[in-house]
Amino acid sequence: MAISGIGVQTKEAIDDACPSEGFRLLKEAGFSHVDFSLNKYMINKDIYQMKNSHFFDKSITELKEYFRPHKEAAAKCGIAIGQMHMPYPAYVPQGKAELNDYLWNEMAPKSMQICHYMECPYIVIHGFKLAYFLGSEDAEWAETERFIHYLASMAKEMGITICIENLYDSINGHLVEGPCCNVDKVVERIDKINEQYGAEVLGFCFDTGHANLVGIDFDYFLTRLGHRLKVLHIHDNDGIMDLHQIPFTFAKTRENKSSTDWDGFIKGLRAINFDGVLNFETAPVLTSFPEEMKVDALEFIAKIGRYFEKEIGRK
Amino acid sequence: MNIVCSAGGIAEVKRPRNGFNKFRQAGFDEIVLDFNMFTGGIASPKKRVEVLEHWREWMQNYMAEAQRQGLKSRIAIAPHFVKEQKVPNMEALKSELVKKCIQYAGEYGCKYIVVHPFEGDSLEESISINCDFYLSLAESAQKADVTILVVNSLRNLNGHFLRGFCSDSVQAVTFVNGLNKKAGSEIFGFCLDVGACNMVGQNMYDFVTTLGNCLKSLYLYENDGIHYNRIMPFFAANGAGSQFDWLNLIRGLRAVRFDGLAIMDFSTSLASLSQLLRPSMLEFAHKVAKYLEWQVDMEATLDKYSSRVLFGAGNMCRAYMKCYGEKYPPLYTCDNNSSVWGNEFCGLIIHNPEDLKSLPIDCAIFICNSYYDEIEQQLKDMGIKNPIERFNDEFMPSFHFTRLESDAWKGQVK
Repeated sequence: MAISGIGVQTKEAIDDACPSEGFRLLKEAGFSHVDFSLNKYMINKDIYQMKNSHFFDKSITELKEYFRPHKEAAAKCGIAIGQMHMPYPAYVPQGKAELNDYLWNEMAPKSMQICHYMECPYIVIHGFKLAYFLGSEDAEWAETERFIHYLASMAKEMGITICIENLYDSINGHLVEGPCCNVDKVVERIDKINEQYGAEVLGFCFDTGHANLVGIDFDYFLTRLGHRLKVLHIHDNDGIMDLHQIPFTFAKTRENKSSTDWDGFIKGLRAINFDGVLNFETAPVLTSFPEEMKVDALEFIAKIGRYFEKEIGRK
Repeated sequence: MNIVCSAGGIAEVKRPRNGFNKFRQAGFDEIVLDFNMFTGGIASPKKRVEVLEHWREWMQNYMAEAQRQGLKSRIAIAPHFVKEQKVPNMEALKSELVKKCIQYAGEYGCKYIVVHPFEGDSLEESISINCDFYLSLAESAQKADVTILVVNSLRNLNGHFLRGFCSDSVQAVTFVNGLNKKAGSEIFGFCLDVGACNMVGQNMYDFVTTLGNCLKSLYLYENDGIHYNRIMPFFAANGAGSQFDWLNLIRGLRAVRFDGLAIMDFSTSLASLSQLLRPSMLEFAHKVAKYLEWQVDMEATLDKYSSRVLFGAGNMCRAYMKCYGEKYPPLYTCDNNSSVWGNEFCGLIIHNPEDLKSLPIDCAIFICNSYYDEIEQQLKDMGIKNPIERFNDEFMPSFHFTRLESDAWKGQVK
């Protein structure tokens, strides 16, 4: 089994005013896929501040029209929309009912419809962060599961797999594990829901950066996850903050070896014969590098993707 | 839960008398027999020969003084070295030392000894070498009547800590149960190193509840999740609070009714202080220990009594009713505010505190108000002879999404 391609976020790369330019640039940089950043239309920081962008006020016809240039440009450049990120959070604890209703009833179902329209097979969602109030990750999951059930029939009908992602939480600035960090629970939950719907309505998005923040053993997690792994968020950090930087960037000792377990990542993907897209969630790289180096940065990211592809394929 | 401390940093290895005095004056009546205090120098090439020759003698003199001062020991920590220390023949040396220390631990009355695992190059290798290692200790443990506690460890990847051996709760339970099965009796248990958990941001509620009965002890220290230090609980602070997940740890310990020993270690905090200030920190540490015991034992305290009433009709009472109201229903609550007497709050009738005088004598009064001292004094002045306990809602099994602000709670009074 071979890797399907190399992808990157559309955020910071695709300009809504002229999507074709961005897609051309990504293609030239060496990407075959994109991770469509639907989350940029309702930014998480704003949602937590109770601000509603009202982007999803548009009818589905209007939304399709809005994204038609993106879809056409991607097709023209030979880029597949491999995965999409739904805006998050989909529920704000202590948030206004009006906003939470909007997220649930407008944002989420319309995101699914946009995903379908873009012919994208996977949509990544964030589980709810409610353990503080509800007392346990299991009780928190029950609420996320309710959200998944709400979308699952739609997903089945549209042939979309909703992907849950390993997340982190913060304790006075110390980033600790959040929803979906226990691989045994993840496996059990995905299997249960898929069995119930008789289809792969739920899968997993492994986020390397989030896993690194909480010292997860990449190899163990990926191997245990197996075929349930559908998409990736590949990025690097210093183990302290969620920086979304280029893999192999961070070292912590004078020996200057990478402090992120990229060998474990390769080993795990090789063990499960991963044949999906090596997708980079590295939009912040494009703002941290000077604008005139954007193409170089993208080319370098794609090159790292090809390195991973080669190593994963090595027997 | 019972918190114990090492006297390391207070009682000097070769001259412990004065330090033990201070340790006792701070309120502690027990020490942890940490063999690393005596064997740690083995890692230093300059000291190795001297330490190997004399560590037993130092340990015996130290423990003789501890016993003379009435300091008991129920738990020990076996010698431990890490790869980076490059101790020659480390595996064989450690195995030999640990067996000897198990014997000493038994002789000094310890019921438990914490034994750290070896670090393999892969998870599979760690499980394999540690299975052999721990089983090789079974006979010594049986003879000494000491339970060996396996402990979770981290993997150091180029300066970044990752989850290592027995860092996964299911793996830990499977490993300990497997050892006991092979040994043919309950020789092994688990000591959860919560500082290690914090370094990799683990959900300690899940870890503790999965461990269940396997959990015999805690290695209790705080850090900021970045630097692998041993800091006094609540002091690895940033912004508005500690960077350690006390909520999930306490929730988990309450859920399993943990009543074992917790080894509190704040050696980094202690080392940063002048010798002159250390006794004051010890006194504070004793208060912290009592506070943590109180928080962890909260539900067990509720369960001790066949009936109970609450004192206070505010947020704390509301929190009690949310989490414990069904399992431990109070007869009623009372409040000093006469305007609410006879009304209902969270399903309880609010009484005049004078009504407490007619309670059955075994009914406990749980103060649900942070003015504990004042209310306790009020009750004593009223001549109340019933047990008086302090309830607290800082670490609850779950929380309301909102708190009742100032007088807003009155709106909930029917």
